[in-house]
Amino acid sequence: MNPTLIKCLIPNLLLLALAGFAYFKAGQFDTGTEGGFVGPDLWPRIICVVLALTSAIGIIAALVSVEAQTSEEDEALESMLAVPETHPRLVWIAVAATGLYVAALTSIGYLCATMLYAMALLVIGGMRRWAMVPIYGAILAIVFTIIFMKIVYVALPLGEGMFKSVSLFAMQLLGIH
Amino acid sequence: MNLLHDLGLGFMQVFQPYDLLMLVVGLLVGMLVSIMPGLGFVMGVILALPFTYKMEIEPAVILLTSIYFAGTYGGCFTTILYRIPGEPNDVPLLWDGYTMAQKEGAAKPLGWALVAALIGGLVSSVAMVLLATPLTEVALRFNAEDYFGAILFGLTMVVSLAGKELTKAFASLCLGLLVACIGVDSTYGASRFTFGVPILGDGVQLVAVLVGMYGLGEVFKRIGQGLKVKGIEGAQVQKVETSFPKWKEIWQIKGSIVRSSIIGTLLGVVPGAGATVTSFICYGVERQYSRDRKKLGTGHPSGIVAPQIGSTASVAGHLIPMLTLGIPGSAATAVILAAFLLHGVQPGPMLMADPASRLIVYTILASMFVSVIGMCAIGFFWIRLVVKVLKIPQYLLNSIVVLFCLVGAFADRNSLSDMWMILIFGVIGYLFEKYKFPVSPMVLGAILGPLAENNLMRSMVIHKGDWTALFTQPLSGALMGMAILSVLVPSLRSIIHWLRRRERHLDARR
Repeated sequence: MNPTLIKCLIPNLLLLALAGFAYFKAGQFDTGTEGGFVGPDLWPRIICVVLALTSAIGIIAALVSVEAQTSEEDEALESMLAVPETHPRLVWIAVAATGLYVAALTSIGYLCATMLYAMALLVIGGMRRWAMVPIYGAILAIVFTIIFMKIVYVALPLGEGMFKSVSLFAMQLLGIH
Repeated sequence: MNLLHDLGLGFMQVFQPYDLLMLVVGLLVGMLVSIMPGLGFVMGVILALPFTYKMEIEPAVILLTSIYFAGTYGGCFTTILYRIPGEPNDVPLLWDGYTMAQKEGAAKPLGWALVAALIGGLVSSVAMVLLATPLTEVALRFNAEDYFGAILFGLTMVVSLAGKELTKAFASLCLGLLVACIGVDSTYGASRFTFGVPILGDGVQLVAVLVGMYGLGEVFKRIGQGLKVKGIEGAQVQKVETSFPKWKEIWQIKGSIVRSSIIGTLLGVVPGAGATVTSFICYGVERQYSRDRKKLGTGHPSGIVAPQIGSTASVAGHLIPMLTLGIPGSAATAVILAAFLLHGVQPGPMLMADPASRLIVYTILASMFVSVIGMCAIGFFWIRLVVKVLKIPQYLLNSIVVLFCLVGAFADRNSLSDMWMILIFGVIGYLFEKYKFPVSPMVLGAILGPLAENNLMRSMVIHKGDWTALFTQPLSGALMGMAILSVLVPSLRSIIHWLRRRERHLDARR
């Protein structure tokens, strides 16, 4: 099958399945109303029907459409605005790093977690001055701690055990009480 | 007279030290984010949002509004100087702005852009201040059906402006409306789509949707692109100076100025027609109808003035429906609406009806004038310093944005669940970009979904489940008709376009 066709079909099929699933789940809401009158399922069901119709049209359009023929003007404009995706894997590495960061925040605390995460982001972003990576990471973690704890007064996670001591010591040095 | 009195009070409030400071900070941030390639004014307002949690409502909204205003102007510098459109709405400036810079030096096109931003901003601000009270009076007469019709029309307009991707825009809107359904329903108290997860009981936080889709999603997309920015590699540093055009020169293109000011202001009111659409339409109109249309593209002032006026004029146009009807028409106004909601204030006609909250509205309206003049002053005096941000490496900028997104969202409720939500919506935002689904309909759907549902349910309860009431009431009927037309017209146009293309394709095969 044509890869472009598959790329068009997959999102629409997923959306159609989602619409069906959500419609089914909406039927299970505790409506608390007598039959024949509107309930909390009405609005979600309307949306599901519209979503299903839209996806079906998207699928039909993908199946019957001829190869895209964009005008020269459109192409010129698109090339001016768009940059092609060249590193899709890096995106998922960044997503995983972000997930790990959020998961680790409670146990290792904001300061340490942010330093490690910032370092990871810098490397993912293409920084290759290895000696500078930890320095930049530390600066970012400190600056963000000051901004959010000292200026915006947000109680960021301190971590547990040894990490809590490190966070408290750093806060003392930064004058955060 | 009441209007002038209220506006005067608004100006007095804007010139309070803290509010004025926030305005200046907003203008600088707006300039910076619109100059930095890859960022934009939407990202700017999102990054500033967490700082507004602890502020009063006036400085919070002034900060965000001034970022929005400055963001529509700042990008012209990189476009004219380095051929890097800071924002998509700056693309039309490439054709005449950059060309003029190559021919006559950058000072002149920068001067034209400054004059255009000033005129566009001031004209649309005046028009919107005059429109605010009549619009509120109309909105106060709205019943549930009318409100539902108005919201539906706003949402369908956002979809209809998605161009070729109409079905994707519709799907995006439906997803946003479904996301808004998550949590406990406000009419019946029923849990919907919570799947037994306690944090979903409160619904999905607006901030998570906004920051995830526009902020983190955008960063993920740029990581996928290797953090490359079109044009920056070849950027040649030029001398940054601004020289004003002469009165005579301005008078010569008065037609372009008047046309673009009217179009920019009117299009601003239309939901979905953001600065980009307005800028392109203003340029297109000049190309079609201007006396000097043949000179456009060769470095003509009309080609700079028209898109710049359109971009800046659209901002005030977007703010008024948001303030008077509670319907945001663009991504940036959606964030500003979120700021209102985070402060427990629901924008809409009641905001103007109450004298205490009316001052908030007029303070924001007054801040539009100060923002326009302020951004032009910054553009004239400090731009040499501001363009130095181009030297910040992209990997560092990227890390800063991600940290702001994540910690900023955490700061809202001190909840790690919100960070997870942002990550989820960030991934959705990235997938949307990858598969070319427009993001704005989903975000606006998530914001306006509860309002639309509440009004639909109220109407259904009042009319005992009779849905025809939506079409039989005069105003709601007209709005519903316009909503249907706004979807039907582009759909039919797409079908005709597709049939013609198919015919051409078949002819070529024969």
